[in-house]
Amino acid sequence: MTDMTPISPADRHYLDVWGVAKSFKGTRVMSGMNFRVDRGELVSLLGPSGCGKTTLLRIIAGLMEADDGSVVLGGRDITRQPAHRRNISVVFQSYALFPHLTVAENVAFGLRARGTAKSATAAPVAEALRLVRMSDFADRPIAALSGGQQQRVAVARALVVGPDLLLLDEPFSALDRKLRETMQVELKSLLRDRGITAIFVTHDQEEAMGVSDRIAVMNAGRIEQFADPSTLYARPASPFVMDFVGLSTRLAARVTARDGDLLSLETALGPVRAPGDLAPGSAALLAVRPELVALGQGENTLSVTLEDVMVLGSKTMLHGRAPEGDRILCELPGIRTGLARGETVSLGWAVADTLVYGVDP
Amino acid sequence: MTLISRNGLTRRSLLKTSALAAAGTLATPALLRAQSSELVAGCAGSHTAWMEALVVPHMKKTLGADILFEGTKSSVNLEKMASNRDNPYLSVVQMDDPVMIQAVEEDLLAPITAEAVPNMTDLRPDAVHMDGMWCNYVQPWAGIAYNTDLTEGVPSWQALWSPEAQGRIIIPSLQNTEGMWTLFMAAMLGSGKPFAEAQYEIDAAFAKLEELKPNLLSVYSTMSQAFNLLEQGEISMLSGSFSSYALPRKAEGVPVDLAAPQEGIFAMPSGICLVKGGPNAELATGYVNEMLGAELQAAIADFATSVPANTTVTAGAVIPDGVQIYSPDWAFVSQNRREWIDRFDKLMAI
Amino acid sequence: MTARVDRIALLAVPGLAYLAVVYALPLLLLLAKSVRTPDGLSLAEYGAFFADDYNMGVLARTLRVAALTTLLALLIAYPTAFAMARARGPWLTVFLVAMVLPMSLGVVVKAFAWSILFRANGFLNTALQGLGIITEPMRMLFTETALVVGAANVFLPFMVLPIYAVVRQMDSRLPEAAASLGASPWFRFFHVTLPLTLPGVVAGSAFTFSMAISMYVIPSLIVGERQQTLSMLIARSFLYLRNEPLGSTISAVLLAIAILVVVSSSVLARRLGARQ
Repeated sequence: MTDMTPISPADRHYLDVWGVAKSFKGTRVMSGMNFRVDRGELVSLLGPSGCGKTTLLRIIAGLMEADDGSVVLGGRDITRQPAHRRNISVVFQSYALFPHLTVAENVAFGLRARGTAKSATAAPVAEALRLVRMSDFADRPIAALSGGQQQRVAVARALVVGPDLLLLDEPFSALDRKLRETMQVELKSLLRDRGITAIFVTHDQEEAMGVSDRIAVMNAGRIEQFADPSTLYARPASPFVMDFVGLSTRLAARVTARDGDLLSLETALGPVRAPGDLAPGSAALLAVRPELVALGQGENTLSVTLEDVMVLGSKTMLHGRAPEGDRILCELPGIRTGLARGETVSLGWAVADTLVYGVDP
Repeated sequence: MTLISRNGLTRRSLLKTSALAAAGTLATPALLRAQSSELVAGCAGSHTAWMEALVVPHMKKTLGADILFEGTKSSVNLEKMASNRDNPYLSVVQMDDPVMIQAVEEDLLAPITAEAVPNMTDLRPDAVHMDGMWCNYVQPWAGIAYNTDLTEGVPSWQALWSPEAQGRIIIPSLQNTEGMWTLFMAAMLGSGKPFAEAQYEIDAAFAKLEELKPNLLSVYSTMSQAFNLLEQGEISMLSGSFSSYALPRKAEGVPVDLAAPQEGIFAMPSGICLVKGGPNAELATGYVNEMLGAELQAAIADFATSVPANTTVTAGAVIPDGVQIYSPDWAFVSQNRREWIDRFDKLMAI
Repeated sequence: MTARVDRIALLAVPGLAYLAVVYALPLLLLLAKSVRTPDGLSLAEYGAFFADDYNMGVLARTLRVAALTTLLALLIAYPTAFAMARARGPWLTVFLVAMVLPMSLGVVVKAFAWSILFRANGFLNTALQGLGIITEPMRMLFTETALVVGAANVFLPFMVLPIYAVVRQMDSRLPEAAASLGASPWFRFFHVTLPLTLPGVVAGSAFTFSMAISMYVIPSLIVGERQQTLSMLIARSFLYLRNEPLGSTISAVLLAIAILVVVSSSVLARRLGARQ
């Protein structure tokens, strides 16, 4: 309950989740949750399992009741509305297609539920199946479809009713990697073309970055950071976000001196400078993305013994020897030969690329 | 029911008995042959209490025999004897006289003789039937059981037909032997003739029975359930009830009594017989002799509030004074019973 | 490959042999009796059976009671199965014990319990009078209503368990997906939940119906001899009328009904299953 002031009309967003709280069997899993999405945005809720992302999705969908707070969609307070009156479609992780109906009947379900005559469903169903390139499968039973085909049907079924909001719960997790990437591209352009506002729930940071305009990184029932993918990657707001989104070097450090915005820190491998706002003497965590680190001298330089050299095709990843809990990574473009385990090298990077987080002792 | 579980089993007898069991006979527990000191007796379900308390220990003491018994309806005993005719496992059967006649007709019984069963000579003459094909041992008497909280007594069988009794009486099915009493009384009341003639006036009996329908809550084939409803006061009278069941319940303090209405009462036809070709013939005759002997007769008659057939015994139930006790022509019953059952069921059907 | 299949098929031998000896053989002998007359094979017994109004009345009652018993058991079992599927931990145990434990209680004991419930001064009459719904005690003992209530009670587990098995397997996301597509609770029930649980309903109904048409002890105890069912008619034919051809004929009729129910329900279940 951080923000109790009413939202002024100027602040009004398309979806406004405000002050939502939820407990399960006396354990509070979410409180004071605020979450806003603009019309036409594709947003991801990203976090590890148990972080509350699915809870938030279910509360928005109306499949679960919040203990407190409100949900407003397009200026309409839907907090107390049952799921079937919200006009919010959900694509489930398991797709939840109706096994007793054919592909076309599944897609027609939402229209029929809204009272559309059977004869009037044919055209929109055909159009929806065409959009997901499943026209040839209209009369097939669900059991005869592959995972990717089922997902397309689930999307068609969700979109044919013209939802005000589309929620997708781990929609790609059951697909193999190649298919997943294809489906992500397809779905993103489909949603964009139709101007659909959609929220993805995922634990896969690459997926979140691939499909979203903005990503809300969730941890323990809170949103740690809600930003566009590049900000999230370049300027993670917390060590949790930094760790969850991409890889990075991380070193335990202590602030030795401060000069304006510039901190001097001591690590197990030597001194480092970084922009920051911490008092001298305080404990800190220092991080830098691996692709920003290069061989040779930089504004910050550490002498590191190589623990491993991993050639990954498009890139080569160097792992430096570091104390327990620390990690040193350097990503070099292309295939690099001539570097061997046990060799000592200099790794350098810019002061401005160095991230510093205060650590509670 | 006591299951027979000791062995004495040969492969051949197993094959034979399983083939028999497979051949659609009633599922009898007696797949195994009895040992020489074991004897299998068929009896009525209501005998179970005194069979356990008196007969089994008595036979062990006097004959050294282990008695295994199966308590069920007379007609089920008959069916068991008929189905196992070629390889009987029952040696002795205690069942009702009309069923005895059917068993004699189907040639399932061996005669009881005074040589093998000396105690037979002490019986009342009318307790020995068809030259010893079976004997009565102890006989309960039957009248109308009533709930003493609801009725002060039943002076006449006409009470069953009284308007106050609407929906408050239960009578036995004709499948049960005690069902005959209501039929014969209906014959007497309907024809106006004395019992000796009236028992053949079956059309009059059925006409009178039809008038009983408004008063019937039910027709039972399981007596204990009907008697329970009498004890609970759900019904006021239970027709055809007999002393060996009703009077012990009265003695236990339940608000029931057995009435001997003025028109007369009936002697329950409890018979004992030897199964033709039954195992352990010698032990079987010994068993029958003991059942007819003074000591066991006195004990059973007291235990089951019944009238002993052995004239040297003075124990047991006293037949109410001044009331005629009837014994019907069981041969006539046996001859016509199937047809009566069918007619009765159709008449009583709702 | 063939050898392995054959070996596995051997596992069915004890069961089949058992059924053949203790079930099929006696049954065939029984059926043979229904068509064998002194003059050779004949269907005369069947003709006589169907020509008798009393027998037709018994047949109609048997079918009516079985149908009503199945319906009542279904109405009670359906929500129960959902409650069980939702129950967790100790509650599920309570449900299962409550389902299974009464099965170990003999029908005779139950029949006595019901007579307490149905008596003129019994619980139901007292309650109905207390609520002012009736002024005079209603006759409930020895009525068809009491029989249906009692039989539904006995067969309830056989209705609940097949439905429970299907409900438990049902993806709980399906009704949620339907809700998110705009389906009202009624629409969800009739277009998703009911069709998906129908195989369980069919199986449970087939169990219950085939047991209810062949029940013997329950009607003997609850309605007595005045309202016979086919099974009581069979017992009466064998034991009291000592008319084996008649008993065998009625047995054959009962068996034919049971086979019809089982076959048609499995065809129905297969059709429903094929769609899923």
